Amino acid sequence: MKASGLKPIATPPAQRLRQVQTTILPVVVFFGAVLLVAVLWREHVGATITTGRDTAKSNEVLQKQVAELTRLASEGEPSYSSLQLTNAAHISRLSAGSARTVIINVRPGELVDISVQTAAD
Amino acid sequence: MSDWFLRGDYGVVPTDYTVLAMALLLAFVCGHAVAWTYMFTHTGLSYSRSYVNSLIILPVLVALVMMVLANNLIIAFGLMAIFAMVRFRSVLRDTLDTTYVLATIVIGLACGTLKFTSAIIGCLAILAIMLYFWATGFGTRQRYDLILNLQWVRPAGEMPELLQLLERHARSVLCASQRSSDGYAGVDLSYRLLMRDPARSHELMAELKALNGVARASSLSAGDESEL
Repeated sequence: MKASGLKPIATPPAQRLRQVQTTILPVVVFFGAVLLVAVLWREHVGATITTGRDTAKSNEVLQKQVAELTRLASEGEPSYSSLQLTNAAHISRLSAGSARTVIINVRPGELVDISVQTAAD
Repeated sequence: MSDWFLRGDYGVVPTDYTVLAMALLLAFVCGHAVAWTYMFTHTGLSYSRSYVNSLIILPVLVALVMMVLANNLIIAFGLMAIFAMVRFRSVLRDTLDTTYVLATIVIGLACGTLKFTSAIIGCLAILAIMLYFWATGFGTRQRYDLILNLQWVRPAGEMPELLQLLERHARSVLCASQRSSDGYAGVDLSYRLLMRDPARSHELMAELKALNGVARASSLSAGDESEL
């Protein structure tokens, strides 16, 4: 028998699927996770440099540093009627609202002025 | 997601679920990179698929532990006590077994510290990773599935004809050993083949036996290289 000119035999679909599962799928999962981490990092991660806390009925929290509002968390019973942000170039998450105490974390990025009004106003 | 689900964590500091997801994902990515590096650089005989899988799941578990502990020293001591109790009461020979035990402890810890949402998110993340290992066979190093031994009795210059036949059936052909001796014209060869279709290895053997110059051909199926 002469081996010259022989064509490779066909790989069955089940074998191909197994190859995809064991070689390509881990790479896809890994880079998918990397992409998701990159998006979350860009949108949500940042060290806080200033924290403003407003506990009075009506107050204005003013952030005069170059910063970006990244988190606005609420504690206690709802009492604020509105939250107003001016000059805020980027807001990652803003749950308007509704609390006796408002914690505002600010990180480098943009100039942010935040005014908080209570329901009583 | 529904508000009722996101309000499932009790605690002094509210849980930031985006940060939790980010921590778990980053731990997974970094663990995955470490596991791949281990897989590609490991050269000894003690290779274990379970160990490779543990390299991925452990950072995720540790990230979840740290999120649940939340700087609480008392809970940290509790975790150590629980893990020590389980560890010394049972002999865990496999690293992945230990990882499963740690996973259940962490989920229990999250429930016990009233971080219900974190427990559910952590549990789903761990299950997803375990299913990922199962679906992909991650950590398996199968670089060949057939060991082929034969004698080539024709001149060495005519060996490309043999290689052509092997490449017809195999995606990867590795010559593991080649032995020749004085007073003997032939060459003893041993190949490691990754077959295109493992079910048709008998056809390869039949074609090899029909090929002029091949003698004493024998084959042995090989599984993955993991420890049993």
